[in-house]
Amino acid sequence: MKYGIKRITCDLIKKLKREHMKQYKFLLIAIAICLSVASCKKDFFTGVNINPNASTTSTPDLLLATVQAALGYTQGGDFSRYSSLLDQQVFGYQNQTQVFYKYQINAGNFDNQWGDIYTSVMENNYTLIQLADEKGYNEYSGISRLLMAYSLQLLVDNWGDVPYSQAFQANKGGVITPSFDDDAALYDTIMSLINIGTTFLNNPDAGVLTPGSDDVIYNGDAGKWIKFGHALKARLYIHQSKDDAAMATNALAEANMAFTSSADNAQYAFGNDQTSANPWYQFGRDRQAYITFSNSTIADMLTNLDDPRYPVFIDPDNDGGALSPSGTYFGGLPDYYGAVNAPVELITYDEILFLKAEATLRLSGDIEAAQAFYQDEIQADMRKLGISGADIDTYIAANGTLPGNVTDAIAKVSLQEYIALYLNPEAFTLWRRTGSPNLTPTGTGNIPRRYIYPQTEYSYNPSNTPQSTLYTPKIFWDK
Amino acid sequence: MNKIILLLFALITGLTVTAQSPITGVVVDDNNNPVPYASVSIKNSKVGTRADENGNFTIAATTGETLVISAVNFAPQEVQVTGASGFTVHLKIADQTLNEVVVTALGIKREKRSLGYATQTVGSDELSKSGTGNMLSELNGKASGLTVINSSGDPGAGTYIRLRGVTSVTGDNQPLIVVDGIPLDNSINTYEPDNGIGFAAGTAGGLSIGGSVATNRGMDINPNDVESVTLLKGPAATALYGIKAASGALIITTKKGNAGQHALHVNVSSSAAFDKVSQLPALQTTYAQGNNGVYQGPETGQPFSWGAAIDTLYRDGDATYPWDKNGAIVGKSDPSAKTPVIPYDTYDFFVTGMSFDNNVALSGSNEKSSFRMSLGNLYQTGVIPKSKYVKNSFSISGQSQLTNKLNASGSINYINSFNNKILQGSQTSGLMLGLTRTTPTFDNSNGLSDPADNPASYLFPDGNQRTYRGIGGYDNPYFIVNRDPYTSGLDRVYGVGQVNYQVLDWLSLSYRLGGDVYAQDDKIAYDINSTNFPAGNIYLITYGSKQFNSDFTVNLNKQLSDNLSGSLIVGHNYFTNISNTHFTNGNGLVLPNFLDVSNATAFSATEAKTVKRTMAFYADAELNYKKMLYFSITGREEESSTLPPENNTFFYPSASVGWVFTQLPIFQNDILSYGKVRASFAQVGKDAPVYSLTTPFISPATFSDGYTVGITFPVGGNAGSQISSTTTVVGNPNLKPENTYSYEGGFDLGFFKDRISLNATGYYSKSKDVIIVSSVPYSSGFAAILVNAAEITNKGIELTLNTTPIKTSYGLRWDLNFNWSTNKNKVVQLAPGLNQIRLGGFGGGEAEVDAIAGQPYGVLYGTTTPHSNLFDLNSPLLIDDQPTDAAGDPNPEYGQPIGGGVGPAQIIGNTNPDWLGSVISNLTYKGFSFAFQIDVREGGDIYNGTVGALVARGLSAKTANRGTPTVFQGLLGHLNADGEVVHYDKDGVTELPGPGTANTIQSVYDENYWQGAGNSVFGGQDVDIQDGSFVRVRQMSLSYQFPHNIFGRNHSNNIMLTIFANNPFLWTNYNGVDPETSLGGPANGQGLDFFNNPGTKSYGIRLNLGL
Repeated sequence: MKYGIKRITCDLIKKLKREHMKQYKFLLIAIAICLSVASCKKDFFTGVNINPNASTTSTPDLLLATVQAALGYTQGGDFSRYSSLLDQQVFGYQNQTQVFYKYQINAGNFDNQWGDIYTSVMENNYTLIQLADEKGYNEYSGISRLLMAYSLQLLVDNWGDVPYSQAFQANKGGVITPSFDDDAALYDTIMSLINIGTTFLNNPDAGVLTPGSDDVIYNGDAGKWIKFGHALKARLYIHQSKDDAAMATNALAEANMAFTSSADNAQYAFGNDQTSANPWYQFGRDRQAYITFSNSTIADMLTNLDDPRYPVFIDPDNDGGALSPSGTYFGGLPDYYGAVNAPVELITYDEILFLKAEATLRLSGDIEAAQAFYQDEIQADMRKLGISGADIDTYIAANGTLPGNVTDAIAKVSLQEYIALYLNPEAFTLWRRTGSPNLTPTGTGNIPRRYIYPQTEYSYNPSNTPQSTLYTPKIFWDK
Repeated sequence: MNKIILLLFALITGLTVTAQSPITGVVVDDNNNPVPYASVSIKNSKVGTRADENGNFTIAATTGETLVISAVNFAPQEVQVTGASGFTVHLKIADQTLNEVVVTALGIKREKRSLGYATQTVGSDELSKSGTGNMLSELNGKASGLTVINSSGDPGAGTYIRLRGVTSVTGDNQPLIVVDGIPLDNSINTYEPDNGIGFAAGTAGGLSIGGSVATNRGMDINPNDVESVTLLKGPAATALYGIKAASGALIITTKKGNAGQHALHVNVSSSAAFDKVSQLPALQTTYAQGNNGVYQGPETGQPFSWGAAIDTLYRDGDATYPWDKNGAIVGKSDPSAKTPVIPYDTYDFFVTGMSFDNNVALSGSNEKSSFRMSLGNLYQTGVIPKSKYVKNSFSISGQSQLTNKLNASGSINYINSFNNKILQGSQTSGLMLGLTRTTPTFDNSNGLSDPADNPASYLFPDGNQRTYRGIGGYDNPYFIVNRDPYTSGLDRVYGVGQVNYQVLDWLSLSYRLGGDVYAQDDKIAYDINSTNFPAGNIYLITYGSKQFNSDFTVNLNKQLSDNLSGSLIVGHNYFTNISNTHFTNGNGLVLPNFLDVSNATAFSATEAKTVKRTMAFYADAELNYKKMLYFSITGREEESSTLPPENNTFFYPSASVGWVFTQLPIFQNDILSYGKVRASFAQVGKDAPVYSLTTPFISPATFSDGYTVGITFPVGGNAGSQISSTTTVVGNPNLKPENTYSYEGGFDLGFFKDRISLNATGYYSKSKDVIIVSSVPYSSGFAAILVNAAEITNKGIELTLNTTPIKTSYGLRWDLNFNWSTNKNKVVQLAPGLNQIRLGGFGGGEAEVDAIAGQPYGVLYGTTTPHSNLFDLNSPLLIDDQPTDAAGDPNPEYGQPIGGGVGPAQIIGNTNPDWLGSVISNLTYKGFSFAFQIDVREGGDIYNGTVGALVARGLSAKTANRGTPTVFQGLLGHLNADGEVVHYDKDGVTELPGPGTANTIQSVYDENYWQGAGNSVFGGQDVDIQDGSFVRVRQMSLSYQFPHNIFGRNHSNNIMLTIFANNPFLWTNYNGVDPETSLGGPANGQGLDFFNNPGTKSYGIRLNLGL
């Protein structure tokens, strides 16, 4: 049938041509035009179905730049906003954030952040890993695995069981409804990603493509990435250290191989344009006064502590961008966290110091050793934020002594870590793990202990997506 | 004037009139009543004349010649000239049902009686009554099985059309528009800038919730050029058109000059109309801006109107107060209190829209040739200041019988239009959003008499915006119309050329080539200090489109025996469409009020080009036995460039049968004058969207979380590319064609010589392997994948009843016609593992329009207010029985329904109407005629998010009852940590499963209730699902046809004056913006009202002048 009609028509025309050349000349021209255009070349049809405006290939530097920006934007965006609303570092003033603040939260609230991290961050990163491995770009293979490990940690700490082993197959003809992997097992997966990534970074293949300015976080410094791997491992261990001395030991060991100064901090600095701006800057600009800062719980804590970081965190005259007098229209967050090109912090040196203090306390109960880390942290965080040495000294004199009891000491360390982790999703994890600082619920019901799985997952992956509430099932380390 | 034109025309065409001996006669009907203005001509010559109003004519003719006498509604008659004068010609009324000819697929003209499927034709007289300038919207209610939805009443607003049901899930469901045999591009070219208020990034593109009122390009057609529109409703009628007409077709025939009339005609039509807003949500004017009953002025940025009662407030008279010339607002007892506060009427913003439609057409002919030229100008201003649409159109068509065997014809149309659109919907620069949320104590116009043209209404001297929320929040509506302009310009040419060659009396060949080319230039600008883009932003977008269509057909027509005749058409079709879009974005403006892209500081640009080609061979065979039994089969083999090579050629057939049973003597009687039964089967294939086989990398990378504008590369000097983001659809190299199988049956009956005629059609169709953008969980790494998986069925009934209750010999006539249709569709399945897909709306737990397996296409889905049975929205509401919250503070929701929309997301409504109906009446007497049309829609839910959001902010009139005590109806209980319904035992501590007893707790309609469970924006969306049923007077008109001889005996004329009203009356329980507006515009996701721009009603006058 396929070619039947064409062939019959062709024969008929040939016959007509022979027999009635003159009479039908002008018609034959018309026929010839339409048939020659449509002649037996399949190419004529299939050849045009190639998108001229999109490329079938990419390069590792283009993908790495995308993955890092997407990670910075997603963490500094929804992850940061939602965790900060729940752990009360910010205040939900109106609209969606207002109801979220009161725990009137539904599955749909989480679609965007889940979607961004799985697609813009992790799918692109998965593609980068494959490309780098295939071409032998070892440093890219290493960095991309560490970024994958970090992204997966964000997911597990907020949702517990999540898809990973069957994820990222939709464009390869594979699974489109991935199953959910066990959260504890995913921690092993993260460790393994870090280990393999570190191995690659220890063997950067000289002479092939290596990252430079496309690596906004570390400018291609493999040594710093290896430290980042240790920092992330230390974080994973400390999460599990509550009743597990071995985990505290591991955490301390990894922390000792991690960052040695704030210069090692893993953070993503945004661009200067409106379309490459820091996500908190964008939120203040696009969603004025959805979130405000001066009426948050952390604002009260800082006031009570007479903390010099208050004006770095909060500008009461420009709160959430709502009440700004003309001239200073954007933001609501002061510059360190809210400038157009402000960095979003992933893991910082001060967090590592806290982690050492906490691990020390859990392991040996050595208050003195812990207090040294504790004071170093306050120093490191405040110096990073540009607090004057005199103010730091005053503050440490007032708040730098840990109580003699391990439990109280952990609470005090955690309070300072909570402040240091301003707007970092890790602060929510910290609160869940240590119960410090002591927070009062802001809505009906208790403070949530996890996120609900997103509505899109319930809608499009219903057979695999577990039931969840804001409290159950708990993340495996949340005891 | 007429004479000069005639003279000119005579010079051009060399028309001459030979003088011969005059013959006189009179034309009468069966009852010997004179037939006025019949056309009288001599056969095979150029000579012709026209009878006068009494039927008398004089013509110069010689003996032996044949006169041809014809008149409207009568069958033509030939009379041999015998030399005698003063004879009488009896004309018989044409049996219209017997001989009515309709245009079918590919422009093939068929006797209507021969068709085995349903068609309906709408004539020019029905289309040109109102002067809206939009032919598609004028079709509303004119036929059964037809759904027409306007995006809004804005000038240049788009029109969504559907014939019968839907056959595609995420693809286009609108019918193909064919003008004089060539398919016309009906694209919607619109851009929705990432806006500050879009909620979820969503699953796949094309889900507009903001932006502007979308325009579809089908509205470029000048209604004054249209002779008729034939609706080919189902696949049986359109099978020959193939893939492009799988959703039916509108076959538009344009007006032509009529050869053989030897006359030159000038037609002028002019109309002027005035537009008013049709329906707006009611606002309260009792309470001021503020919160908790306390007044907070604009300087506080307070978005809500939960302030003090306005009658307790005074102005202090301080003329220097920047927010109001009457001074700041203070309490009654304040020493500075001067005058009581008088609330402002927010809706004073709207103005009277105006519409002027002028057309001149010139047509002429001689024996062999004819032409028609037409020039049109439509000038419309809307009810929103600055909204505007101007369209100039020019067309010329001609045809000539070049030789006895060769006929050539062609037409070309040029359209130039300019549209100043107004931003709408869910964005902070959306007009209705900023306007209706304005608190009643704030005057957007700043007390100015011409606020739309005076920047002092919307700007402070320092350049900041003056809005009721301080200097931000939402744009001042006057800022929107002046500083956020969305302009769209269009230049378009389309045309067709055709030659027919009659080889033998039973064999003809024809070739037709058509082209349609346009460039649409859009510019969307946001000035500095707009809330959407405070730094300013400009988009320049050029949409270029070219499409060409070629058809070559061989037509055979033969009387096979005395009783049997047959026809066969064999054809070849080639079609190509090339579109090219250029997109430039300039961000960060330097100077305010200089909306030129050179004023920007950061730039990005992209292009998008698509090429598509299809080719087909087709055949159509018809057999006709005794003009009684008709049988027809068609087949089409199609090849499309968008499918994989191994699957890109596909064949589909159709067959139909029609039996005019009244041809049999036993069925012939005085009551039933005509009867036919018909049945058909058809299959139609459909290809894939272009470039849907692969998943390429996209550069520059861009992503957003729906709350903020997001990131677009470059970032910090780095370029970025991506394979995926939250909107990426994965291509599929294994796609194959879709197929729709359709079965249709019906009958046509005429009674009492067609005083009553009834057409009834029932149909069932099943679409299989429908290609859908199937949402996948993001954990797959992508948003969606293209698959051949969905199945949709449609079944429906269409009835048309035309009656003429009164028809008298003295000229009184009353025609009364009814259209009624119902369609039930069902999404049988979507894709394995996929039960739900978003067609429009917000998503992310907010109201959306979905296709859900097992449900009708287009159900509303969203979160709910907890009911005592969570999944039964008819069960009593759950009333919160928790006196305190977890912290021990009093629970403000105690004794009220539970807010926050924490009930499960589920189906909350169905946007499909139960049925659509219309009544069209036309009463004529002598020159007068009075016509009206009433449209009825029964059922069809609408999500009234407009009122929901206004309730939450204390602006809706519903909230004026604040403070009124009440006991909310429902059962006591609450949701436990697992989301299950529980209630407290008597001890107030123990939670027992299920709801408790009926609520008796005294509560109040307070701010907490209206901000919680009382609205759908912060509460469950089920709260604001409303029945969209309406009865609407679509049109009323009164016309007077002047006598045909007011310029003297020999100058017949056709002058008609009409006064008309469009949409003058609306009865509906729906209380949002007009139930016929649509947030999504001409798109699949209908049934959403979220700050749509309003609909309109209009009143006008129209003059038609034919000479």
